[in-house]
Parts: sequence; C-alpha cells; structure tokens
Amino acid sequence: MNTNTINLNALDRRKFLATLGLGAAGLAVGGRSAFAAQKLAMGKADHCIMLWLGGGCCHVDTWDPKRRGDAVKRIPGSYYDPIPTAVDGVQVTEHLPRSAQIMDRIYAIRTVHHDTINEHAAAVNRMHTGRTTSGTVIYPSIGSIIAHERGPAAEGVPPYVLIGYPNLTRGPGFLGAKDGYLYLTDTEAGPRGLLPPPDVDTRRFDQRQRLLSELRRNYGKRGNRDAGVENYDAGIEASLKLAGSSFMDTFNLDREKAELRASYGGEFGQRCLLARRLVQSGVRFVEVSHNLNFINGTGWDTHKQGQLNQHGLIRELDNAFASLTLDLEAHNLLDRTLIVIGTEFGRPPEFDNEGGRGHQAQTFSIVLAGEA
Amino acid sequence: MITPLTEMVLEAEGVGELVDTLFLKTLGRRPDPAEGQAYQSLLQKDSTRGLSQKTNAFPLLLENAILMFPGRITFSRGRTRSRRAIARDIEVGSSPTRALQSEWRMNFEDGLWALINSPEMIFVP
Repeated sequence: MNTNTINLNALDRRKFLATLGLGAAGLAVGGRSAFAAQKLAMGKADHCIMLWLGGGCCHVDTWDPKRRGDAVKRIPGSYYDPIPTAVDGVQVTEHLPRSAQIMDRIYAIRTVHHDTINEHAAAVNRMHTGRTTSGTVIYPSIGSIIAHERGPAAEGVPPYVLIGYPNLTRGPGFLGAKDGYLYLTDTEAGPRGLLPPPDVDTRRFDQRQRLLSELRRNYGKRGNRDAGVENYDAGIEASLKLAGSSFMDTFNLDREKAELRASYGGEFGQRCLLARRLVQSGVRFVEVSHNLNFINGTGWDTHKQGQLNQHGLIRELDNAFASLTLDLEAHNLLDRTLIVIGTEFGRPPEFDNEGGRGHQAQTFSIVLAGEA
Repeated sequence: MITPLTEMVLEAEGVGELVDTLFLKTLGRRPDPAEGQAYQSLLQKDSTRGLSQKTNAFPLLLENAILMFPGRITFSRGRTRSRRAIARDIEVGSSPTRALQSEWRMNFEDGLWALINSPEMIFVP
C-alpha cells in the first residue's frame, strides 16, 4: 500500500453508489460536497524551533510512560518511574521534572505513526520531508517549505537556520538554494561560512565583495542562464548579504546573563538559547540538533548499553526545553512560536539482550509547545 | 613557500600580462575590458612596492631549498618544526611567500578569492 496517498478509494465508491441513488440532481449536489477540497487548518505561529533528537528518542522512557519494566529480567515496560505533571491525569518520566511543572504549555502527541522502515536515514528523511523517497526527486524539508512559503520575519536575516551538521534531509531539495539553511556546528564559533578568515579586515572584505560583484555582473551580462549556476549564485548572494551584517551579533551568546546560560545547561542548551536569539532576530525556522556525541556517546539510539546513561540525556533535554519555553514566554514570544521536539521514531517497551531497546516507528511521541 | 601562483606572479612581464594569465589559469578565458580594468587597478596599487620590487634572492633560494628536503611539510618527527606549528600549517596553510610585499600580495589574494567565488568557478564534488 502506498503510504503517501490518502486512501480515498473506499470513500469514493460508497459516495458514488449513494449519489447514484439520488438521481441526476442529487449527483450534482452530492458530488460537489463529496469532492470539495478540505480547508487546511492554519495556525498562528510566526516562528518554529524544532529540537531534533537524533537516534530515536524512547517515548516510553520520556513522554509516554508505561508500567515499570525490568531490563535485566527482560520484562517490557518503562525504565524509570513516572511523575505527575501540571496537567491532571498526565504523567511523564521522573527525569523530566521541569517540563512536568509547565506541562500546561506542552502538548505531547503520543499517537504518531509512520511505516517507513525502522532505519535511521529513511526515518529521518520521512520525518523531515513528510514523504518516503521516490525516484530521483529530492523533496524539501519542513524548514525549507516554511522558508519558501513565509520567508524571514525581518530584513537581512536568513529564514532557516540549522544548528547541527548539514544534511540532505534538512535541505531545500527541488526548491533550490534560496530556501536552504544557514548552518553552524559550534555555538562558540558562529557559522563558519559567514566568518572571514582572521587576517581579512573590513577593508579587504569590502574589496573582495566589490571584485566579486564585478565578476557576477559580467557573468550575468554574457547571458548564460543555467539553472544550476543560478542556484549557486543565489547562495553566494545570500551569504554576502549576511556576512557583514548586524545579524552576526545574534551569535554572540556572551550578551546573555550568566544565570540564564547556566539554566539552559551544556552545549545542547546553549544551542536552544541561540535558537531563541535567532527567533528574536527574525529567523522563521530553527532546527536544533542534539548531536550523537553529547553525553552518552550513542545519543538517543539507546541499543544495548546506551540505555545506561539515557537519563543524562533526558535531564539535559528537560533543562534545555523547559528553559527555552519559559524564556520565550518571558520575552512574549511563546504565543507566536511553535516548539517541536522531533525524533525519527520511538523505541519499543521490550528490552534487547543487553538492556537497551530497538526501534519503533509504529507508535511514538512528538511533543509540541507554545503556539500551534 | 613558492607555489605555482607565486611563480606566475614572478614570471609575468607586467600587470596586464599577469591579469590575463590569472584569468586564463582560473577561468580558462581572458578578462573582458571591465574586468581587466578592475584587476589592473587592483594590482597596480602600490606598484613600486609590489610586483616590480622583489626581496633579495636569498630567501627565495632558501624557500625552494627547504622544499627539497623530505619530511619538511607534515610528517617530520618535529625536529625542524614543532607539532603545534605543523598543526597550524594544516589548519591555516603555510606562511605566505616572502618573495612578494605583503600588501600587494593581499590585494592579489583578494582578486583570486573573487575569481574562485565567481559563478564560473563551480565545483561539483
């Protein structure tokens, strides 16, 4: 069964047979309402921050706790105990205490499902593009779609920033470089692609830009209009605009108070803080990646012994996510920002032979906060 | 360190020829009038301290000679250079040649940067 198409066949047949019975006039009326396009529900958010937990975050150990299991005896269940939250009847794992306290701003969607195979790359692509792969088409990621539809929220600012390693699944696909992302891998250093080398001062930088503009202008005059080159040139245009601008100040985390930085936590938390600053400066979509080498070496892909230090990851997530939500609220941005905690799949309640878990895409959780 | 580009600069007979050769080497064509003009003004700046005046021959010979000894560049045991210096070389590149005045050389680098980033120079990895 093709998972991409909505299965209208059964519905069509029923409607068709029903409207046949109503006669010609009935067919006109019934037919139109049966096939009228559904109006899409639109939200009010102006920005989106997606926290991407690479590896497959185990939902039963975080946002969707089940009865306690035992990894040693291989009894399926959660690895930790649950705690109550600010919302009656909703529990989360004991390692998400700060998030539990602000659960009223959070929506845990526990019924997410996809049947792309339980393999990381395919599932990451599915969750970022909303589709399985088909032929040689490279579909755009959600960030690029948003950049394409809405552009940046301010002048001189890129619409889409990725804090993490560049990857095809986060890219613009057939939409082209204009809807691509600016990326950085180190919050201390800022985006490498926009920083001139240390021995290039403003005078030299301006000189370089003048010469490059000259060459680009002459290239345009010669009338070559290859789509691939245009695409590349659009990227150059965008980086030239950003490189010398005040947008670069956004990356200066020293501007923030030390207590605030501490409340966010380590590198992942600092990335979340940077995401808030980017949203403030007008970036429309920010993806914050949780790197594999943070804390336990395996990231969220807790097979076998990766399970042992999973609580460290969850606590780190809790601090960063809760701080981000409250910080956005303090800046009056939470009602215009959608925070998404994404992951490629969940993990089953059963344990593997070394106390970890495999992959499960059939049911897992995606968490939203802020304005939908 | 003497690179092919440094050699090209040293062998050119004048700024006009240098600009032509630079375009031929990078973009495979000669510059058109506007580009030629822009690059000639760039490289004629401080002309008395740039192309026409070179430092004396000894540092040039030394740079060339050092290249002939194996193990100089990266994998030496550290007798000639410290590990940190080697690491810096890999990260930043080796020191600029002493055969050219630094200000002129920096203008040349800016010109080369623009050529490498032009739409005509696209690498498909």
